[in-house]
Amino acid sequence: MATGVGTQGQGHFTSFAQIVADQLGVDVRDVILVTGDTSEFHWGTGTFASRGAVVAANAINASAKRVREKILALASKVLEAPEDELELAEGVIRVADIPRISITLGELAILANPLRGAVEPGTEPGLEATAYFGPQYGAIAFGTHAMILDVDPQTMMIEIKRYVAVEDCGTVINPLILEGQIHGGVSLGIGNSYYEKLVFDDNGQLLNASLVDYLIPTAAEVPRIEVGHEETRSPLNPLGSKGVGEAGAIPVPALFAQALENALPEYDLEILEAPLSPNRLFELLREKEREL
Amino acid sequence: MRHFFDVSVTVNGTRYERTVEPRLLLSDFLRHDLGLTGTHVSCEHGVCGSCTILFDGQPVRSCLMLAVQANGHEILTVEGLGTSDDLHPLQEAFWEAHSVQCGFCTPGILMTLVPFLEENPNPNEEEIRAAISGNLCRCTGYQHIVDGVKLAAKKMSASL
Amino acid sequence: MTKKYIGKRIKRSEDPRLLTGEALFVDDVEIPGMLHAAFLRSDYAHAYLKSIDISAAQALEGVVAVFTTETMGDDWQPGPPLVSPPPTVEDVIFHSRTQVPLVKDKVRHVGEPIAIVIAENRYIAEDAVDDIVVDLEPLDVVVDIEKAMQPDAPLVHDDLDSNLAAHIKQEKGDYAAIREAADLIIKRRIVIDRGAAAAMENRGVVAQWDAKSQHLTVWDTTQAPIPIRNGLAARLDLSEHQVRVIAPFIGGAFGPKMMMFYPEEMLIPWVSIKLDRPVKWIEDRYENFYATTQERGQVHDAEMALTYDGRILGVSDVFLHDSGAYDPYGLTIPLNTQCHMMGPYDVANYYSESKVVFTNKIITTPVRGAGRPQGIFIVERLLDLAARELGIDPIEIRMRNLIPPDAFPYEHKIIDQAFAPLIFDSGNYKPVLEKAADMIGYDQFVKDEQPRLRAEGRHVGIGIVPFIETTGVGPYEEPG
Repeated sequence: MATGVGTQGQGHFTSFAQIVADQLGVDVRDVILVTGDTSEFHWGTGTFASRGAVVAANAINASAKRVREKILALASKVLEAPEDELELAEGVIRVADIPRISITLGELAILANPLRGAVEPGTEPGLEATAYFGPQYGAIAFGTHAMILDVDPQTMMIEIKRYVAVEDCGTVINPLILEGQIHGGVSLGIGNSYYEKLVFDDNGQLLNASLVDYLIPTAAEVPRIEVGHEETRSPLNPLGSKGVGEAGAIPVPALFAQALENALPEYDLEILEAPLSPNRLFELLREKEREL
Repeated sequence: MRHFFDVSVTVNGTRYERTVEPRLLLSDFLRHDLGLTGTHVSCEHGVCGSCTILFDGQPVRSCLMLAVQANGHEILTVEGLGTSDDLHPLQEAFWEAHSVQCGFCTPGILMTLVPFLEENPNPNEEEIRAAISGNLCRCTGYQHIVDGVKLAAKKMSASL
Repeated sequence: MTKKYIGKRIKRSEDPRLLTGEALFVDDVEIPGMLHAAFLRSDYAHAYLKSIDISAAQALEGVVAVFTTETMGDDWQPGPPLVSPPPTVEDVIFHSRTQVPLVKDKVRHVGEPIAIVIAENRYIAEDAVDDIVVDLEPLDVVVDIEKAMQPDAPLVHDDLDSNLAAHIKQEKGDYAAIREAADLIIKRRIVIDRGAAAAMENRGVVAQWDAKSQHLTVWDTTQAPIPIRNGLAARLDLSEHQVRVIAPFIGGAFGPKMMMFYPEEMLIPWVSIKLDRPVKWIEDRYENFYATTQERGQVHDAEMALTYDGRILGVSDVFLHDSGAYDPYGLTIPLNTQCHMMGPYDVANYYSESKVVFTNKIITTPVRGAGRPQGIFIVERLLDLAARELGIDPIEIRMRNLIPPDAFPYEHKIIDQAFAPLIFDSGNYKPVLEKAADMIGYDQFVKDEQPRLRAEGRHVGIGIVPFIETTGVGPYEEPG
């Protein structure tokens, strides 16, 4: 199976294979995804904007469905049984009630591309299909994050004691991969809240152009994230899926601000900026102390 | 005028003899002179840990070393840890726990963990996070990596 | 179709290769005879390029070629605009200015590439970069986006009247009218600043031109190989079947690898054809901060109108968006911000005006979140401040405003980043918010734990934030 959507590491090789495996009744390990090579396919855009699980997955689902239809049509002729009596499972097409009448997918594929004889008019050789999916408009996912934060107003050090992320992104293809996406997004969000800020001086010089000075959260800063799920399907696509690639990162700065204000009620803070930093928090607290 | 020095390094059990410039980084030597591209380069200033290898058994950032410094020493890279057909228990555990997303930081983390698990066969969450706090990952948020380490510790003590 | 695999926690099939160092990333590509590139990048954020002397660099042993804009001749052309302005919104102003392969007359941000050196290895190439003598005449710099919009601000693009790159307004209902009826107006200035995607793998391009078969192969750390293939073919006067772009394993991307036709992407394939040799350029971490796109800089003057019982009557916002020195990515990020400033709430009146501003900084293109975090930050901060003033519990005020489940599909009458109408397809928000509150033990924390910890002198706080995310945009995908 080839697709125009590349990979950034989100596990497309697997999640897309799961869809194909379910449509064709094969072992997911037998589905090989080819991606990222323009010699393998001709049309497509890319992996961005939380669209893989919606746009690519549904296109894959549609093409796998078409392949399934071709498989059943040809197998029906070869096995001399009506389509509705056939089943696809374990890489084999067989008559459901008489399983010994069967043919493997591999053997069927060879028959689908004959060296002799004629391809029946109105049909195509092979067991391949190409399908497009272009959504009418985007699907809207929803979530809620919650956090308990401990801050030391002397050192400005923070510790996230608990972090909860509840996601509703419609149909979930692979929960393990989904959680990984949430964890990764939250870790970037934590960076965007308290550690990462590109600092330009008045001459346009970037003052922190190195990982020593631009602080990416480490395993010591990112907490254990408890993920919860709800599933409200999208009516916009057959899989019912919505995207989730960016969800982890989106609410974190707002959440941070709220929790920080809540942790320091005596300061009556109004946090109207992001990202903060230990230094900036120090300035804000000292400003407030002068006021109060 | 370019100067060259002979180096002899044992990597993953194989002895290599090469002639290199003194300024050649060990990371570049491994990746491009020896073709062992499993060790990755991400920052070249010793912060991210992606380039971590074992140097005489100790985890070392290969981007902060010169190839000539490795003369006469033994190096273990991720290629020496296991193969697709014969994964190290740590690699197996990472696979099961979904510790890998893009995989770029992974070899450095694996090499950091090998000596760590030898010295700490039963680490808790805090100890694991401290051990990998010198390895940056942008994809996973570290949680599944920590889970993978716990699983590896179980596997490795079970096989004793 | 049986659901044997969908919904299951399946191990990933690609992992064994990644775990054993057997996966191919762009810097792993080794081709016999391959040359290496390094760039001379500007130390100034804004400067006229007066002259370049590459003779010493060319003379260095191991250097094969040095190219500048002059030597590129007619092949020099700026990158294509990637996203056009929305056709369906009235009165949109949009000035398209895209990045260039090498600086021609003026440097517009620190790190902009001025010359490229091709040598036997990267070490020699970097030596040669130091030997290039370049005469730059520094100009006044514009960094702050508010200052950039002042009448006397230095101009990033001299052919424009100001640093205004784009201007877009979107409305729903009538905010001005509803404002009069409000019991409470929360009005604040909110500033959000830039961050980097900082994927662990920096960018890279390897190009191999085969003159005999007239075929170009490019390995590229891109999120979008097909558009790169199409664009390169067009720029290099080749047909699409002569170009193969491979995005092998990519070490994280998070958006900036979706930016296309970076200077290096435009140049390296051209150099390979020019020299008839394979050429590799790998970005180092220092370059990544200057040469790879960034995001999040915005300044908002935002307002929320509410009733005394915390019902949102309307949201109004005027914001400046920092585009950096060029604007190849159109209005994608500001549109996302506009679509998220009503959050998951039932808001009948909305006014949003965005001015996109050029500054002498690195180009802004989407980074994971892509304008959505800013929108959610605005609406949630205003709501939190309203809750404080009205004395309403933070969860309660949100419950009162969430779009109810029977209101879907819910139309917002504005457009999103794909120029499609912003319609919320489905949702059931209350149970998600309740679940999150339940999982963190919100009530119990506020009632028992927090007072106890505070009495011990600890400063512990709790937060809870609901949010929507626009996903699954077109145009389309096609697998076979």
